Amino acid sequence: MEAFPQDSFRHLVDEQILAAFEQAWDGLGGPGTWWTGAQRMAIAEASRSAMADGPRPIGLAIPALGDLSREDGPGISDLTLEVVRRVTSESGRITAAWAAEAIDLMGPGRYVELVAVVVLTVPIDIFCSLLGRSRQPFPDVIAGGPVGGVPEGVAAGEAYVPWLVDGWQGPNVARALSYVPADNARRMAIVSSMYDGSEFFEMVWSHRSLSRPQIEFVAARTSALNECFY
Amino acid sequence: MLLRESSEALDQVVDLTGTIGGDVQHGVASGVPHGELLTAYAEAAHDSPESVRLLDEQMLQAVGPGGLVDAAATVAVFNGLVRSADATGIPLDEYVMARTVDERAELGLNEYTGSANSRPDS
Repeated sequence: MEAFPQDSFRHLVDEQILAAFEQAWDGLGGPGTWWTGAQRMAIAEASRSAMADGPRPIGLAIPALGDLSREDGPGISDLTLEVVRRVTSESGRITAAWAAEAIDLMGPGRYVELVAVVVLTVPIDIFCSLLGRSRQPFPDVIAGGPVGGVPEGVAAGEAYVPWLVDGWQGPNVARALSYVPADNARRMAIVSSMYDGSEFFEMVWSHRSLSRPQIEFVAARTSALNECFY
Repeated sequence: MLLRESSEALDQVVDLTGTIGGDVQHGVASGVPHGELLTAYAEAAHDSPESVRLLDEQMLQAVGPGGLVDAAATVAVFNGLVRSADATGIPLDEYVMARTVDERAELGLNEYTGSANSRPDS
């Protein structure tokens, strides 16, 4: 059964967008590379809560990562909850030192996959909300342990996290989560379907109702509101 | 960079300050068709997705249902992209760095926390 049928939206939505959403939802509840399906769902739920809460006021004392419990067990730890909160609602405040500590405490695989779960769910939730559709309930958890494994060609580079290095040709944002290739592929399917299609290097777009300058204007304003330099 | 270059491709002149302005007045002279409304939409979406309901009718009249869906998709997907970029500390791509020196300085983008990953003095 489809999670995102066309008739669940008031306006016609590109079938590629709906297909990318289905793909993301299909993979969300199953075991990941570094987290179980139950843990991925707990991360997604925590991310939704963080989106609802919004960023904490500047100046409010926030927990030191090293002081938080790291025992994930069947769910997620206080450390993981704090990282989810920062990535979801305060990403513009992330510094190299904070990220280094989080990655040191969690491991790069768990950190990158956590980010992936957040950025697979946030755009879909926002899109649904903007178009007046209720948020999609999360899929059922699929039992099983994380599959593990570091992809070939991944190494430390200029980012906080290891990423594809040898012979990389595309924009950095496309390889940001290459440490978890399955989730990164789902993420990039969302990006492609909702943004550039296959026309990133074309300055005049014909695949959208808005012109490319109009889309880039909205994109730039959204990035600035989130204080994102990239 | 993509806003400027895609506008030039359509012989449009854009005012990039509209992208970092805190009010819709910046959109008026942006040079982007319906820039004021699109700015208001992006800002309302950032404040509260529910508040964009107030702009739906204006959006439908100005850019049609397809344009409304495009705007929603753009806001949504860039909310994922900014989190991906900030959480992983990726540097700005070299070709973008080289072609946006003036814009970054003019718009104050080098003051953002994430700029530390990209050597904005270069």
